[in-house]
Amino acid sequence: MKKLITFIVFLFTGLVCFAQIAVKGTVKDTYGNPLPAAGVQIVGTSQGTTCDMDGNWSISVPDESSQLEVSFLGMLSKTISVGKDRIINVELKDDSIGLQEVVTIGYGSIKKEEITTSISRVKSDDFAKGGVNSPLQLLQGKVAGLGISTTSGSPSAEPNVSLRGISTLAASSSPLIVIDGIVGGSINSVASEDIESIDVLKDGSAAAIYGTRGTNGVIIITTKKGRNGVANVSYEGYVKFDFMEQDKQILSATEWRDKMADPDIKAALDKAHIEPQDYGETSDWVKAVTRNPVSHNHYVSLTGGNSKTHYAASTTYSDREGIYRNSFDKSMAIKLRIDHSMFDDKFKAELIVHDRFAKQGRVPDEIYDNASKWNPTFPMYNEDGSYYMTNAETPVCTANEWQGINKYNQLTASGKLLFRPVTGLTLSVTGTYQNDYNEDEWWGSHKTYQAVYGAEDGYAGLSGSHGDDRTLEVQADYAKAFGDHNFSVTLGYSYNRYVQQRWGMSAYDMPVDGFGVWNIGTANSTIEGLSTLSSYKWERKLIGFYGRVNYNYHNRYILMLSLRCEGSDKFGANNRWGVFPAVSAGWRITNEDFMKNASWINELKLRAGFGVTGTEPASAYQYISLYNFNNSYMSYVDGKWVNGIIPTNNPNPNLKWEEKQETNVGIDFAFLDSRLYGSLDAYYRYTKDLLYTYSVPTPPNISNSMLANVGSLENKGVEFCINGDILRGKDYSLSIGGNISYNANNLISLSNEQYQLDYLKLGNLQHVQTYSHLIETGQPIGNFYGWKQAGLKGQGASWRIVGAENSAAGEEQKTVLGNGIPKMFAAIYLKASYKGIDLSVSFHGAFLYQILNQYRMMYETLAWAQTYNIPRTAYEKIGDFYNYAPSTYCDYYIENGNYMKLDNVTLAYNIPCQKIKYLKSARVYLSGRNLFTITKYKGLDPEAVNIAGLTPGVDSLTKYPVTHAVTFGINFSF
Amino acid sequence: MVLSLGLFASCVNLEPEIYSDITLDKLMGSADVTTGYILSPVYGQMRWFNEDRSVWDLYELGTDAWVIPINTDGGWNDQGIWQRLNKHEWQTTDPHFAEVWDHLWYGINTCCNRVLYQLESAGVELDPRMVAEIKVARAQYYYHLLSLFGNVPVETRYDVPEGYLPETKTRKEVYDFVVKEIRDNMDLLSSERTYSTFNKWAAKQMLARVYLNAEAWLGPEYASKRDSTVILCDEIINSEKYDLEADFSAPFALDNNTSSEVIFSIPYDETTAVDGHPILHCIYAKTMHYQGAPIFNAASAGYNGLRANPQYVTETWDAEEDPVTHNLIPGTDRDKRYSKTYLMGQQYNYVTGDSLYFVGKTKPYNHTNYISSVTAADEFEGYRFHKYEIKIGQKWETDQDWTVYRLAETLMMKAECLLRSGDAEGAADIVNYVRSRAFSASLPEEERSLTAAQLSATVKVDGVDVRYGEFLNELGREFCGEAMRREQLIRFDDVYTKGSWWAHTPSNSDHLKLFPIPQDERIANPKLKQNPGYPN
Repeated sequence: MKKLITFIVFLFTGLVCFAQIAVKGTVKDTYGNPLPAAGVQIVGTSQGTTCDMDGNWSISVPDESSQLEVSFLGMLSKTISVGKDRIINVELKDDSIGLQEVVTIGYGSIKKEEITTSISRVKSDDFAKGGVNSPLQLLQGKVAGLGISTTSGSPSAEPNVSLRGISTLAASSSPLIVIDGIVGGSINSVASEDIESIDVLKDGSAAAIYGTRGTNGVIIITTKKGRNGVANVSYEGYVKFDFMEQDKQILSATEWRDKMADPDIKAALDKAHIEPQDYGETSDWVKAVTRNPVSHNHYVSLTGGNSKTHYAASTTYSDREGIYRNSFDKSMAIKLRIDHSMFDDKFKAELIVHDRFAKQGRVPDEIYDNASKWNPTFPMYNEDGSYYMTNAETPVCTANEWQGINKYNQLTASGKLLFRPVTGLTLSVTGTYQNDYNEDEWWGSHKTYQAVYGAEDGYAGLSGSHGDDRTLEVQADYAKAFGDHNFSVTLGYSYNRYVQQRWGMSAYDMPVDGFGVWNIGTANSTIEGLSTLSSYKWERKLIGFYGRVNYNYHNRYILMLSLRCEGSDKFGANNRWGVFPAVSAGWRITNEDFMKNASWINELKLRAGFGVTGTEPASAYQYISLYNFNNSYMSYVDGKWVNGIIPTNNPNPNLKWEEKQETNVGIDFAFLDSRLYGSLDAYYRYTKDLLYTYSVPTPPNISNSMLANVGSLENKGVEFCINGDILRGKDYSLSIGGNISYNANNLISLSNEQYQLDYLKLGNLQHVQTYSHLIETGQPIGNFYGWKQAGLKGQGASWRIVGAENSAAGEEQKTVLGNGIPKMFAAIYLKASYKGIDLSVSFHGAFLYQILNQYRMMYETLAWAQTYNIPRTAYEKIGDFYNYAPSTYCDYYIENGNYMKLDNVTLAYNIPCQKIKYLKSARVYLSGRNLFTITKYKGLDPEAVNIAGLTPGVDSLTKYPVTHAVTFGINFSF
Repeated sequence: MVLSLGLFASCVNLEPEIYSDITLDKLMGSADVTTGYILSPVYGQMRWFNEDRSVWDLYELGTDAWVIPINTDGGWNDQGIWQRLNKHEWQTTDPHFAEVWDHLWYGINTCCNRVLYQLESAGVELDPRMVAEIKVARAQYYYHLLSLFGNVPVETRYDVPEGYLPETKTRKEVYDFVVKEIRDNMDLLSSERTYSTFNKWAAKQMLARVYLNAEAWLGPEYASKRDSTVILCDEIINSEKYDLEADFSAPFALDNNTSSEVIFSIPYDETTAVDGHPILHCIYAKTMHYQGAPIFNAASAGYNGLRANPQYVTETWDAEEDPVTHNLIPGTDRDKRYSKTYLMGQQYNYVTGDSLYFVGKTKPYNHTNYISSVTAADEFEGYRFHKYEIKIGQKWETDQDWTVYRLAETLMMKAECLLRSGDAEGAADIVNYVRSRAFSASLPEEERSLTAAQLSATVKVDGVDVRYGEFLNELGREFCGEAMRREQLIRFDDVYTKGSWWAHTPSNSDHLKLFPIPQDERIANPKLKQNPGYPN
């Protein structure tokens, strides 16, 4: 047979001067399953083909010295010399640890095996499942050191993100988002379903090429793109049911009356002159303002391409309901990605468009708090159907008569041209335009408390903003190998300018209900000249030069150097430019000759890196002395009011970049046929010249605070992630993985020559009017600072404060009561499959921290019994007494925050569809999210407590309760 | 990299573009920006004096006239700041001090020093009268520092070198500065009646008040300054620009901008007000019950904080109350100022005329002259401050103007000086002239008038034997709630530290006659010295 083919080929080459050799074969996996759409490409050319449904391929090669590269997504590629063979059957091995996957790094990409920094990649298969509200939730529990917590049940809420502790005081702790190469993209512009993979750059040496915005890490999102082969149409849809947890602290009317009838409680109330009122009704306020929400989501995509052109387009429609009637989030996202190569691949053009439009209904934040504490005997309505109200608006009235609608449109469009003049050199120009348009409506009807009892008879407020973000990037990449020495160099320039316009108008005394905000001109306040108008416009610019050199010797020793010089117009002329270098190196021990015999070790790599990143101030113009009108300073002169012009800031001409230096060492490993793999990282982050609004003396300063660079802090920690493929088989698989991270934070200093400060008191606790946190040098950020108690005194009239047992307690008695930042995060996940059925289970948790239970602190005292439906536990004795002390901030309300949560269980069935015409795959699944939480915390959900910022761990009173959800979904691919 | 920089030299322009703010060059150089806008904050800042936790609180809440108890629901606990203010147990970290410090220095440095310096450097020709007015306004801010904190820096320059930190001056130096500033500038001011700006007479009244307090502030050697007070008061009286109103309430009425008695006031306006605007907090928001809106058909209700001290009401006023209900016995308030100072008794819905009740219709909305507990005061207990007219449809944003200086005070300052100088008859004549409008002419003379002997006598006030104690009581009746009580109690035999009222027990500690320099300021500026007697 071989001979015959050789003969024929020979015949052909003889007959035709440029005759070629035809080769064919099949591509299969290790279980003998054919791999449809696997790619076969002639090395060094753009010629190639893809396998058919049975894994068959055929191609013509120029000669026997030709090499073919056979690749399939998720498999280790193979390169084969044609030689004499004319039928080449290839078996591809699973790339279970993704060594050859291309990972996106700053302004480029690299094979995973060549990475020298701390980068985590999460692929769509591994995303958190079950109807997420934000793409960031896809990463929950998936990346060691990246804490993602869902702090609100609002269908529009973004989760809280923290990476490797708290590295900055003033600026935000959000990581930089990069979407399909677009730096500074908005997470709002993409649909979760459209995301193929997310790379998280954790350490400084990885993020430094992004310079200024990389301090909090970088999250690089890659959306689905078209691939060579037949067109693919897919549909993914789900319906989601949310459930609210019954708050066991809330008393029903019956239970409330039982408490009031209790002689002990009655005596305690009388003693304190507290007379709770029974209004005679039975009202369930929480039930009255909430519903059982149903949400649905639909995603349709079309992808395809050939060797020259690739395309991907998708639309996503999402309709999510919140637990309140007026709370919803409806959005529509479209995505388009096309690239085309021409002139023998010398030119390539790429176009990416993401656009997402959302309409979000929102309700006042305090509804749940009000509903949970409203007297359960209070009537909801009068006989005529109007709201029963006395001195305040009932939650039912608030929920029905106030409404807010927020609409936004987030457009991201980018065009890129690549030119490859000679082998190895790529020149590119990218222009990106991002446009965010936001419109906020807020109105109250003629039935609100304000309207019925106050002077504002119907309120309407409309505000908006329009941001215009333009980026130009020019970049050159050059790669060259000299023997075993492989070099690649990247040089680039980036210009970015953002301009934002904001405006607003508000009016009251609306003539009729029903206009919402869309006829503000008719408001009586407008006619009387009392409506308000405002507008503001600002800009910022960021210019960067960046470069990177990658060096790889024999795939054993890898070095990466990068440098970014960045200038920002938020600083004065002397401090505008910052330099952010990074160096990292990797040693692939497995590729050393001495490791040849250790066949059980599949991958062993040591990594070390150091990188510097910067942070610019959140607000523009802080270094310039600016003035503005402020009608708080108007005065009455010559018979009319004259507006006042005052300085808007204490200008700081010395303002400069905040700088973070990070050292990271790590090891990547894979053992036993890559069944056991993972990585271990340790880091040290040091941030200096911390940007913070410091207190300055008045006089001589014009106001008592100034944004300045003072102080330093450090974070150190370890991260470990491990995966075990316990079972691997043709019809079954089982893998278990997990990650754990530990971070310790320390504030080194708050002083320099000009500013001397040992501590900051932060966190205004409503009603008890004291600060909650002390930020002190030599201490971790996040320390709760207040009184320790030793039970009640005065028959329950006040707390006995340790150190002031018989006197009034003051500042001297305050001490550290705990810390609100989890030191440890952990997650465990399990994936199992058998034939068409697969199951995934994931847990995540946060540990070693405390929470201030503000609900208990505020209301767990009989002092509020007359005003509110106080919690069940308020009717329990503390020691010998019932507590009727005024709400007091003390350690009694600081609770252990540790929790472990079963955040997802998904069971799916892949319907066999080989026999069904047109249908490539079909899958149905049932998924539960946020199923249960193991914790000692007495509040609703420890995960819902904000753990970011400088006053972490305070469980807010005005929160949107987080829900449990069950999702049913189907996916089809045609 | 160098090459790149060269290549893209034109692409590295980082000059910021500013759209909605004004730079100093534009502010001073542009024809659009009139000097009026720049000058406006000189007076505008004074409206912060009457905000919550501001100047008014420090003059009134540490005295016998007012209390803010903790309510049964725990409201107004605020970590004890109000209790401490009443008991004189304040701490250097209490928020009032920092707030007042900031408001006053913002007025001095940011609003006055800056404006004077920047207009001068920009070559703007200012009318000498305007410069004098700014300096007198600045003296008004300094006068509060002098009275409340005593030992503070004296700063008149805005263009100080970087790193410059002001140093504490003695109270005597601050006093000398304030006196000199007013004396140097007052006669440059307008001698016509003005509304809400400083004229000659308002400046003289301020100086008269400074001299009146000089002895209490600086020692017996300043007793003779009261002669200067008499001279200044006479100048104001003899200017014939001002008249005593026939109605005691006229200087506090909604239309008090036209009152012939008012020499200087701080104007407020509900229509120009927006969120974050300073308001007159004590006259409504601080004192009105949160269900009090129907009384005035008001747009907003209050916080149920400020209440009259029952002991003060009983001891200062010659009125009788029912020992059981703690309500006024009708007709016993012969002094009309009593009912024109407080909101008391059962309250009614303005529109329907119905009696008001607490929710559930069990508890009548009745302000009694009784407070059951310092730490658990019931809903409606205590009289409320109602000297200023509350508008029908009152909003949170006040429309009333705050009367700072009025002719009644001019007269009473003169009377006090005469009394202290031995002319009790002359003093009685003035006191009875001011007093006459408060009583019905049909009442017998002895009820309407105070005699020289009564005024000269030593009388117990708050448990202290006070020389001229009846004159102090008369000041308490005439000027109740006008941010003068603290100075009065210090001037009259140190009742401020020796007296007993409500939660306050005698401390006899002289250092409490000055408030502490706020702790945070001393951290920010180590050159500031703490006042004697406070922890350093």
